[in-house]
Amino acid sequence: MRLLSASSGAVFLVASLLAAAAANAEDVATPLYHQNLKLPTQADQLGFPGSVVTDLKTGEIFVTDIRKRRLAIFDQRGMFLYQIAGGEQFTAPRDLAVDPNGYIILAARLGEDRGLALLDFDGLFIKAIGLSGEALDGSVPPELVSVALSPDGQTMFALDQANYTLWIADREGKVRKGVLLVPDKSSEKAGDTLLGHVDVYGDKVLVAIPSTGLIHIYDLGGEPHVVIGRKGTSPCRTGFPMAAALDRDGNVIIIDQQRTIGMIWNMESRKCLQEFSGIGRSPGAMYQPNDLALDSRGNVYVSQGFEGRVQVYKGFAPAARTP
Amino acid sequence: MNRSAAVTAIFVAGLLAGPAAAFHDGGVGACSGCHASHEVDGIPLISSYLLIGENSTDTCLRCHGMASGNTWGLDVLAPGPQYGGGPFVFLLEDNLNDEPGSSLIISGDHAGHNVISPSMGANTDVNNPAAPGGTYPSSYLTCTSCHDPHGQGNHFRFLYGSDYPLSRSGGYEFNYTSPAIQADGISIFGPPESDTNHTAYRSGVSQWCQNCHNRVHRGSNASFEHPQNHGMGDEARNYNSYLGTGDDSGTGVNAYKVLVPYEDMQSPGTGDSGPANPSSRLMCLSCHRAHASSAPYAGRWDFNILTWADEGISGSYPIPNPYPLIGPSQGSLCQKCHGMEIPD
Repeated sequence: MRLLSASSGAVFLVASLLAAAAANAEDVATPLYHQNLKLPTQADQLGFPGSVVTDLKTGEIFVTDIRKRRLAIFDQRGMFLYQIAGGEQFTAPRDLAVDPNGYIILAARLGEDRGLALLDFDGLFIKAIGLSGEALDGSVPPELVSVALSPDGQTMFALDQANYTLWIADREGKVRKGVLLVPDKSSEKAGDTLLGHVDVYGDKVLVAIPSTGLIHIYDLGGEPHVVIGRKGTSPCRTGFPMAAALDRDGNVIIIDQQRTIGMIWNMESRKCLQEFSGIGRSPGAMYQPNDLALDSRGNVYVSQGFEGRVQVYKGFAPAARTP
Repeated sequence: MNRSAAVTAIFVAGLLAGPAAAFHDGGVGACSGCHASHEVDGIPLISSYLLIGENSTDTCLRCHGMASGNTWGLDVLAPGPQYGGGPFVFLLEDNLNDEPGSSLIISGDHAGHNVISPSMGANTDVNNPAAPGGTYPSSYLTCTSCHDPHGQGNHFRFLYGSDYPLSRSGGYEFNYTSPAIQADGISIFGPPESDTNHTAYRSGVSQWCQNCHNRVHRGSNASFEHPQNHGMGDEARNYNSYLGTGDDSGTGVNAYKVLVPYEDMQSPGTGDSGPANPSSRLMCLSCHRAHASSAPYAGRWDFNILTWADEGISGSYPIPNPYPLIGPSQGSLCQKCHGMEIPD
């Protein structure tokens, strides 16, 4: 970690200053690093946190630990509550969604296939959920990398890397609609378009497409609302955005794995307002972040594989809710 | 249209008509897919090569770690699809030793090439300061020790070769004296490897490995001697007749096992027929994975097992039995070439 260690403090500080200077609008938040989510014993910490999800109803935070095939759940203060161990029923948990009753839909490997599973709030495996319906005709077998639920828990949004599609389905997996995320699937070269995470905040569905540097925002019916982001590596550009969250003020918080930084964009003006954090090893600095989530108290959670961190930043506007 | 406009239009049309370059050729994603073009206060954002990861491994794994080849893999007990090299995740195993009756712990450090990856928590090889049988320093071992990220030689899997260019992982210059492997690989974006969908190795595997591992399995100091680049001869007949422990009734149809590949200039790469002639060659990858496996020495199977019933008794990922009809009594795959009578 020669350069990460050597440069982390300086770069983090400089990046923050640059971020402020780069902002072409008024500051909308004063993000402040708060803490790193920890498990109770030093010998058993998070291995490789893939995604992080907040339950806006209970305030709980769910983390998928891909390497240790488990879900870790924390309360809204960041205290560890319990874990749901995989191994038998699922491995490699990539993403999850929580419904208003606490049931979990998990995107993970189920046996040899990657798919969706329904777990109850204690982690009891209820069933696998397969996508079905005429909308799937002509598609290759889905490779589901991310999942989200509508606020009422009745509509499921699943991101399919194999078909470059956002599937909108009911809880049983019956697909109502497929939203193609590339201009032309037939001319798409495998590996050129990489999908990040899908998340739902309020009445908006946010889909991050890292390889294009764009965040596509839809309504709950899958109708396009707006696309934000601008591919690049200079300040306030989106190099490889992995995930996004929407706050109640209409601002979109983006985590960029390539630039290793957080950004705040305004959804309607489609302008970058501010950046936060930056690369490094020191507390609050990031290294190749995987996902982020925003809770109802204005805390942002960012997961990364390096040192198994899920870092918490305060000072944001609360998450958007359904009007 | 005036003349300059016409020239411009022709030039633009020519650009548009050209073939789209692939990612590593400067196409989609191009430079910024792997490099950050900016510095902060004079300090390169991450590494001295302006990579977006701390080193080249972390950079490569962003796309190829858990998808597009699954080179790192998801989980030590459920690694996901395999494409030939084997997932590096086994480097994080607690114990690989499936030898029955043995209490020896063989840690994941012995699972394969110890590429350094800060994001995955993989560190320098603690057991071998340099490549066994060679001089390549372990402290510089990353993806780009073996793979040219820009694919300049247009070799199989972007491997370096004797023609061009030098390997420069972490700044350490290494000159490959043997040419790159000749092979046709399966797509890393498609179905995983199987007995009917596998890399067709043509030639040069053992010579290429010897770029770094020049003195292994030979000489008086070798703990285990074995030919490394050897015409199969009679072993080709064994290979074709062997259909699992106790069954040598095969005729070559359905003989191919992806766990025991071989080199053959005529190998089709698809189908599962065995070697068509005795000139097919044994090579390093006949027994070893190029990246890692859940067996010591990156073995395609655990060399310490007596029968497949022993696979995974250490708690490590059990390598699937290539002969499920034989069941747990299936023996070590040394039998594939040597039959039931394995020489000492």
